[in-house]
Amino acid sequence: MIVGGRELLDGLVKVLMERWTVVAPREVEGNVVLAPLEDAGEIVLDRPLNSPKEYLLPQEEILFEYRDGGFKAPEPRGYAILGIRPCEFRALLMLKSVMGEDPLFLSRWNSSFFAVQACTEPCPSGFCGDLGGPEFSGIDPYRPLGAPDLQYYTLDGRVFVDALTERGKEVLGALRDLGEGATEEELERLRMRISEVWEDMKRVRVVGIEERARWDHPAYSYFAERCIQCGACNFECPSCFCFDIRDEDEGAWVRVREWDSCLLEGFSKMALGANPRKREEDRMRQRILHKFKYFKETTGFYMCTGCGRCLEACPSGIDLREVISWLWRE
Amino acid sequence: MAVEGVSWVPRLTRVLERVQHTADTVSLKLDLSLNHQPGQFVQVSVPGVGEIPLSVASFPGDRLMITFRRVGRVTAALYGLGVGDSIGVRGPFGRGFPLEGGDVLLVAGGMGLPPIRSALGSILRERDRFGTVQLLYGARRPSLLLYREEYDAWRRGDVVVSLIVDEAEDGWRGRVGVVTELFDELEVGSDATVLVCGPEIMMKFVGRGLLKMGFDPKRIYMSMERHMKCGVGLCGHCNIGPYYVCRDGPVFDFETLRNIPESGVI
Repeated sequence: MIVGGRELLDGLVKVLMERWTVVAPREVEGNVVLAPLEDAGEIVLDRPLNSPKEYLLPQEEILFEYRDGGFKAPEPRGYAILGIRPCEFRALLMLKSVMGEDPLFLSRWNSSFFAVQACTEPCPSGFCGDLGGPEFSGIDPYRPLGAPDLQYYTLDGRVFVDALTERGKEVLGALRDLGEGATEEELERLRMRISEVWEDMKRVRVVGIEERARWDHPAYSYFAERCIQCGACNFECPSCFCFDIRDEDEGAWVRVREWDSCLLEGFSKMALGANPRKREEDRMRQRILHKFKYFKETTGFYMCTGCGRCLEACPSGIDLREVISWLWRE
Repeated sequence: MAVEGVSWVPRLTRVLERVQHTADTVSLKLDLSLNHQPGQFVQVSVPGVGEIPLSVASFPGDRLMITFRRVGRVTAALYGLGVGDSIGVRGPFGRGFPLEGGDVLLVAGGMGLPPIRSALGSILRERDRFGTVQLLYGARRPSLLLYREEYDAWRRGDVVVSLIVDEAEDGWRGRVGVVTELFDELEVGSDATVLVCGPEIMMKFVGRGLLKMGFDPKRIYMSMERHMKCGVGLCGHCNIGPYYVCRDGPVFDFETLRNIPESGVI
């Protein structure tokens, strides 16, 4: 681990810019968004409005084009993605566990570099306390699925950068001149801060919830009544991966996929209009059970890392923490 | 980067033959041999229109045949294809029917017959491996019974073919009712392997009736329908409980389905 001032972070961006398009939190028209940087100095420390999902699984992308008698499949390149939070990186690991055989996703994943920003301040809507907490440590519950290349912390105006992979160590080596080793005292303060934030983030118990998420739980109809089926929670969720596939015919045959939402009525519609999830509560149940029961039972992981983006996005104020509390209560 | 695994690019082939079964139902035979397991499905593309999942109706190793009804946008485009037209195919995908020998009961309703026909093809090729083989097939009306010209060949292959329709038409001398009423003609033992494909409501009553007669729910196999988009367990459209119909099915044993409220067959 090396410690330095702001110039250490700018230096990191500069080094990565030599090989990647760097995507990081930056200000655009008064908002902080995760977007490609043009200049190293643009990176900011605030949490961006958007999750990193779109940089691995774009909202819409071409699967293939057929023109001049031949198929052409894209081979997309990944980004160096900086400033995403541990919860979001864990969500990306889950995306990879699902999409890992998809050629486009894999092509991006294999050519991406990840630098996670550990949370030295609690965030308003997250609940990662039971799902890994504010830093991605060596004993992270999601560690079996992978690790970010780098992790950085900010505390009292200082930046701490740590490498978690061989590739991360290489990049860190190039930054030696911009920082120094951390003192025991500094590390102790950092550890204290992380454990304080972790305590704060233990806002709802998640571990074991699969046992309580039963099929006929009243929570689904209760929350479905407030759902306006906009799909914003699915779109903002960094681990929701469901997508739709459709064709376009504009001079050439083009097949695209785009994010889809299990809360929309058309999601499970079949020929002649048959629909196994006709009612809103059927779809709400699917969202909750897929995340907290089915995925957990088949992979060992919840399809939720407590980032809180869904509850920030919901126009009807459906709070996933409240949903989970309901599951525990009844 | 070359990646093994999922490919989104279909194989392009051509329509060799078009057979009109009813006013809105046809079969297309394609210039593509397919080694599939009966019960598996393919994703069929009409270039520029879209892709839909369809059961394989042909026998394993034969030229691929699909049978479908014109009900939506993509099936309407498929229906409009003629001999020589281009068509795309991905697959076969999923798990099909197990065919391990012994007595076999096949139960089909309406448009559920195509994958059952494929299974019959496998059975007829190795007829000696099996005991009593019986097909129970129900349709709304006699004129909607699929593959009528093949029943005699199936019977000659020592398959008991029992038919029933919801509504009789002129000339129909067979039975009228729902497919479960044919249970009184059963010639297979209750240790038979049962392969079922049809509407969920039909499969529900078939499952219920067979259990009452002492059949083993682990040996009753049902083919589920969902709108599979990707076919390879990614897109999430065909989830039922912890399963993906496209990858873990479409054929499931009834014991598994009985524990999934959303399966629609309990």
